[in-house]
Amino acid sequence: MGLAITPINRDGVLMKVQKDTIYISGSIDNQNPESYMTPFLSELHENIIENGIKEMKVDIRKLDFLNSSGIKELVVWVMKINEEDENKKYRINFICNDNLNWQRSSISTLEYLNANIVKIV
Amino acid sequence: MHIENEPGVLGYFDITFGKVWDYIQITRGYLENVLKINLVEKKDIARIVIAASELIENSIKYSNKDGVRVKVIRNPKTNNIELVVYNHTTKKEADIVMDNLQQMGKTDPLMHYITLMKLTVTNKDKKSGLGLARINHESQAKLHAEYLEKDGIISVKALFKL
Repeated sequence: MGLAITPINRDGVLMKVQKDTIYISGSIDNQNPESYMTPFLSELHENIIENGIKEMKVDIRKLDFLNSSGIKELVVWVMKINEEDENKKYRINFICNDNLNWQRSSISTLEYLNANIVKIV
Repeated sequence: MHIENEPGVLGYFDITFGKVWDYIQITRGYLENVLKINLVEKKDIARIVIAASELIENSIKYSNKDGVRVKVIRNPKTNNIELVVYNHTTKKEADIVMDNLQQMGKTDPLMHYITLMKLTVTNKDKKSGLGLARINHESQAKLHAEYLEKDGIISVKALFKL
């Protein structure tokens, strides 16, 4: 599996895809993270569906901070998956850093949107 | 360092800065270090820092004049930490924030947060209230806002039980 997604390196945030894992690192505390998160996640979503992928990992272990505007972008992504036909839906498994206490509490809330889509591993 | 700034409370810090986005990260880092020095538990530091960051973001976004003030104090008797963020705004805008907090107080924090998350997907309004809902649920803080009409300043207080 090889997804051709353009990596993002902006305002101290790096977002890239390698094999079955999306790596997000840095600090998402910009005023408008949608300016780079929306195009990246949209391209990713389309590619995942085109390739019939059923599961992706999201490694945020090197993500130091995520503001509510960044959370909103992840919510949009999850809701987009949720709206797809059943055969197109895929699961996203978040890999968190237990030394960064905010990660589990912030990401666990996303599980309430659809626990069949979002999981913390 | 503890400074007695009001009877019965220990001061952590009180800082005023301009409406510059870059100051958020600096203040967040500084607050995190101050709390670490003062032996606040790691899980509590995380929830206080999230709340501070979200409140300062709101202040910078919506202040109608320069100048944002952040005050953090610890009351050793109640073992509470009080975070207060002040900014200039109109009464109309302050009323919106106060109404928002009042509504928030009537519902379950998690349910309110999830509801706003779902609404934010379709609602293009920048003022989603997601930051305040996040503080209410994730930071487990009691939120309260007041408007000083003569000064045109709103203060939003987040109270943390340690």
